[in-house]
Amino acid sequence: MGFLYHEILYRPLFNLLIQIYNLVPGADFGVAIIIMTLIIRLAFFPLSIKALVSQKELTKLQPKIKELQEKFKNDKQALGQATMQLYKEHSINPFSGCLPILIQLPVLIALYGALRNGLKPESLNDLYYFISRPELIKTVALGFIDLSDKSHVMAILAGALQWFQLKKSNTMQQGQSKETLPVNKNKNTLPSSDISSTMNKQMLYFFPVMVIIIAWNLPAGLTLYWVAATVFSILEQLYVNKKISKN
Amino acid sequence: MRQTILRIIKIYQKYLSPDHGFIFANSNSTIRCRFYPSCSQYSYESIEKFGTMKGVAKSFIRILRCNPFSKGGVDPV
Repeated sequence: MGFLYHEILYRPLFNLLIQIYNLVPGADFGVAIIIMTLIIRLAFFPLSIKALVSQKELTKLQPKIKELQEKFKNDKQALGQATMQLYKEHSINPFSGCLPILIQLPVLIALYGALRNGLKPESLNDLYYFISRPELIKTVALGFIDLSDKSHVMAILAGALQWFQLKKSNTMQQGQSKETLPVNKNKNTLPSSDISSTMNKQMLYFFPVMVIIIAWNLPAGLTLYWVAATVFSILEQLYVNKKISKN
Repeated sequence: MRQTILRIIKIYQKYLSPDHGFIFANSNSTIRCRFYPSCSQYSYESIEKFGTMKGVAKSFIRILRCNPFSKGGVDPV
């Protein structure tokens, strides 16, 4: 199984990365990582836009969801099942699904595998025959970040950007819940939404702090990937926010 | 092998999962599974039922299906 993982997920990504490195003028591994991030995120761009837009459609179903929540108050499983059935009937689904999140994992592992050895020649044995072997890979990006070494500045930057990204996506959800407020005539539903908004606030700080802790001792190349991916998500969110506020 | 994978899924569900885990539970996040049962539960059940190889393969396909273009909904093992 490790073999399958290696062949299906790790190797293509590693080869893509090295190929980009071969093509990038100036041979900068940092730029190669940023370009790879862009390619991956652009490939998933239709997915993320679809997810962000269908969050918007959810507001129409809000009263029915409230009904179900009343009905299955004590049975979380039945509630989940009934909610999913409801989404299916209306052919909407506000959730991003598992694929967009899990796709991050092989990318991170591929980068980790590539940078762990400081890009020693041995790791290049995973290259396909048609990818030319670079003589030497310099791991210093943009002249000053050593991608194979840890970088606390990059870790904090990743955390800060993650915070900003969550904040942006939260403002959009808050905008939605304001629209649905007139529907919530039943005052009993208010406390639960209060709880979930405090949870959201916790999440707003908890997740970025976790990103910093995890990134603290990891090679800066991984953190650079996280930074580039987060910047991309922020831009996506801003684009969708703008598009929706126009309609 | 099989027991290890099943245990990892349980730990994931208990702590990390946006659907089941207590760390992110109740957050209004839209990062979650589109199906019922969720991908992790589906993986658990299919590995239990079909063994490691077939179970993991089925889980892998399920995760590929779990993207914003799929309809989602109820999809038992």
